Amino acid sequence: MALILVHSPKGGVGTTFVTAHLAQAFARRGSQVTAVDFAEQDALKLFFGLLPHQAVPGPYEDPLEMDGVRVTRARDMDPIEADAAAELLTAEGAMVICDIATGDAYLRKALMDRAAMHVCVLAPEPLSLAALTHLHPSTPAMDLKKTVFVLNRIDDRRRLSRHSNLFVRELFKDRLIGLVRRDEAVNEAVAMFEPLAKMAPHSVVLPDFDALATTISDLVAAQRATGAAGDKDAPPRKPAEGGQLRKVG
Amino acid sequence: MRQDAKALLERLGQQKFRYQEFPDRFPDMELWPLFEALLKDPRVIGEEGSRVDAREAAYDQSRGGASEPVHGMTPEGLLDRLYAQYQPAAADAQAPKTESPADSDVQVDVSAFLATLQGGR
Repeated sequence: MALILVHSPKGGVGTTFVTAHLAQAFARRGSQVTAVDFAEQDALKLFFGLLPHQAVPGPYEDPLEMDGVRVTRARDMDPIEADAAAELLTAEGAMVICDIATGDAYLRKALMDRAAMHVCVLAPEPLSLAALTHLHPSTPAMDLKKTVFVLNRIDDRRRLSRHSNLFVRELFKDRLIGLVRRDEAVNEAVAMFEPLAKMAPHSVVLPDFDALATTISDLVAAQRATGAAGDKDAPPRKPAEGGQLRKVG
Repeated sequence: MRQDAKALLERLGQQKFRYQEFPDRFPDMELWPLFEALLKDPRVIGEEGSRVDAREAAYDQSRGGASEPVHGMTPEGLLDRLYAQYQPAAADAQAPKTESPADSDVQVDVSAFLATLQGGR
């Protein structure tokens, strides 16, 4: 269906968290969705309530389904193997969301041709914003085709978080497609080996991801329509009009 | 009212609370040097000339063709203009007036301001 790459130039901003909860949000919408863990840390499964010692099958093994999401792990793959795995998974008709570690930018690059979009996760923190200078070796962050941005862990009680939100919003405008609020329940759910939606069903994070899934779904649909018209290189942007996209935050 | 606040009050069944947002005050809204550094970094913002030119044009248009150059303003004036965009109308009425008499009637494209910073290096 569509391949979504989740990757950030700065580690520790919640890339794995975004991958897992975006996949769960798609599942809540009734979509067939696969979450792929390309990262060495093997942490994606923890957001689905799995224990650290419990193994996640690879893309060529019998699938493991958690919370309506097929969870798979693509470990130690070179770019060609990763591309083949992505082709297999997308051919099955699912929305495929890939967690790519910060240090594996080469993997993001290898999968970019096949991907519908790259979701770059940012945090309202100086180190995360400064890492925008390293998003791509030759293309400015603002000019990257297929790249959209999600600001994670925003907290309006904190001044720098508010100002960072304004800055990123003005910098990327409609390429900033989602805001996810900070909620300690996220960590508590992981510590309890419970999915967030089960342990904290009223968490503010859940509607934020529902809105993000809606936005991405609309963008993918718009991309297909644009691609059909012959403009395959058009970057994903929120439609200016139409009202289908919900404002988050 | 923010959607999350509205949902919370509805869940609590509370009708007695008065809702008020507290926007950042001008003195609190200093421009972080990090933001300026990023705006000046070609790895973040490319096509410097064309983008700045476009934003300069948008800025001029937003001011109704006024010819006052942004570069000539003080940093305080620029910040006032930037953050005036984020002051709700109700808060504006209650907030103390800033020193610049032009602030209340000038609507500035924030992007034009940011692009101007980039072009002013």
